[in-house]
Amino acid sequence: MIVRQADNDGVRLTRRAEKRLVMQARSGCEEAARTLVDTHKDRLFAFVWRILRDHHESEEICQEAFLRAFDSLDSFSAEYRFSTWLFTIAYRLCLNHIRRRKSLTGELDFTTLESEKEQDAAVQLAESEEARRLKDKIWEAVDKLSVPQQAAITLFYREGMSCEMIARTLGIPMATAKSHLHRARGRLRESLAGLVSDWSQVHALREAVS
Amino acid sequence: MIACQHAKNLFDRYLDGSLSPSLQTELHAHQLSCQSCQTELAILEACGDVIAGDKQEPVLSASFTDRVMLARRAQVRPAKRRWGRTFLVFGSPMAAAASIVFAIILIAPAAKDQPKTVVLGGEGGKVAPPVAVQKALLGGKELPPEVQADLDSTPQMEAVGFVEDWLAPIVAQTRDTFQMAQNGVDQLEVLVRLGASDANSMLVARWQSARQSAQRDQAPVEPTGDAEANEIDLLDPASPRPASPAVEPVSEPEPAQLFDAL
Repeated sequence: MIVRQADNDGVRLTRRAEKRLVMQARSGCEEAARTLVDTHKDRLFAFVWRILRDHHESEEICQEAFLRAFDSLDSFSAEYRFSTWLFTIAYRLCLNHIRRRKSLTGELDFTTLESEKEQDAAVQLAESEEARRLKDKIWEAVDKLSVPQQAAITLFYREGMSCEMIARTLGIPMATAKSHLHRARGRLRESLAGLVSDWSQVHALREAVS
Repeated sequence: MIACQHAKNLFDRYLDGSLSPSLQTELHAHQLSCQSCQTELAILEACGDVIAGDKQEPVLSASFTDRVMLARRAQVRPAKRRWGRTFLVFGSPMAAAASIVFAIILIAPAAKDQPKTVVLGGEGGKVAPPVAVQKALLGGKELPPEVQADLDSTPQMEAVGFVEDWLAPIVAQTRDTFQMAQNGVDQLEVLVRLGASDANSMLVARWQSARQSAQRDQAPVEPTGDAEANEIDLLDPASPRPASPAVEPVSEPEPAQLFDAL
């Protein structure tokens, strides 16, 4: 079975509806702009937060991405999806932000990463201990990936994007996008090797997630 | 049957969804007999499931959309205002300059044909504008006789075509515009006065009813002189409230005076 599932809890616009909303927002309709924000904000925030791992900074970046997208609606080409365009802007803002953060601290700051992990304690209780342990290991492995690898793998699995779409979103050639995705999988495979002794553990985990 | 290493090399293409159906069948066949490949692929698929479905991310603030919309409005408004201001700053002088240039273009050929006007009144003497311009400036009003006599005795500027045909109508039009603006201000003042008097009458009515009710409340209490009867339970909404000290004093100016200054 091919494990590719798109986000199914958020409202996703059809291409036609999205095009209409973009046209309306372009002509100054505030309601259309609001709908565009509402239908994209959670997915965009998840993507940005995965990269930055800081709530406040991620919200700032998301807001900036929306403002920039609205600001240049005139240059938006209808052949792209609004989400692709929005994710592209957000990804670039993230890279700039990380560069700035690095130049300020000299290194990536992982303290926020630790503190925000603790917030999920309540959620964790509801799940089986074993499944939770495996999930944590997987996320730990994802966190150790490089930023482009993380972005590629998140867009692939969470957003259901094809390699071509990922390449377009991240502004890189398709071969590079594929290589990021494959290397990310390779590193996950290495990190998790030997962790699962029993086949049933993986089944339990997959059932817990789905 | 494909070898283990070959099967592992196919994982990525399989997970990308780009593996041909025949190779997919080969892979499945290999997996049935290879526990290691089966587990490895299952782990990779589980990773995909977790990344896709395990929403660990914190929730976005509820006010996020409102903040974006506010920021967007703030971003859009200065741009509009800038244009307005640009128009005011550059537009009006440019319009004035353009009209002057236009006037010159119109006059220039005519001026050549006209005899040159000599300034009257000698050195340092007064020169009055032509009668049409005087009339336009005055707006048809009669001048006091002594001023009119003085004006009549003053030599008049020669009325060439430009002054009579162009300047006089412009002066008249400008005067009318000013008059209209003045009327607008007057009307606005009347409206403000009306609004103020409405508000005033409402205040007076409230003030009077408050005073009457205060008097009514006090009237039965005074003859008894019972201290307990005067006690008011502040927590009981049915209990009579003490009259507001702001209403009680006689020296307090009536609200009717508040807007008299207008």
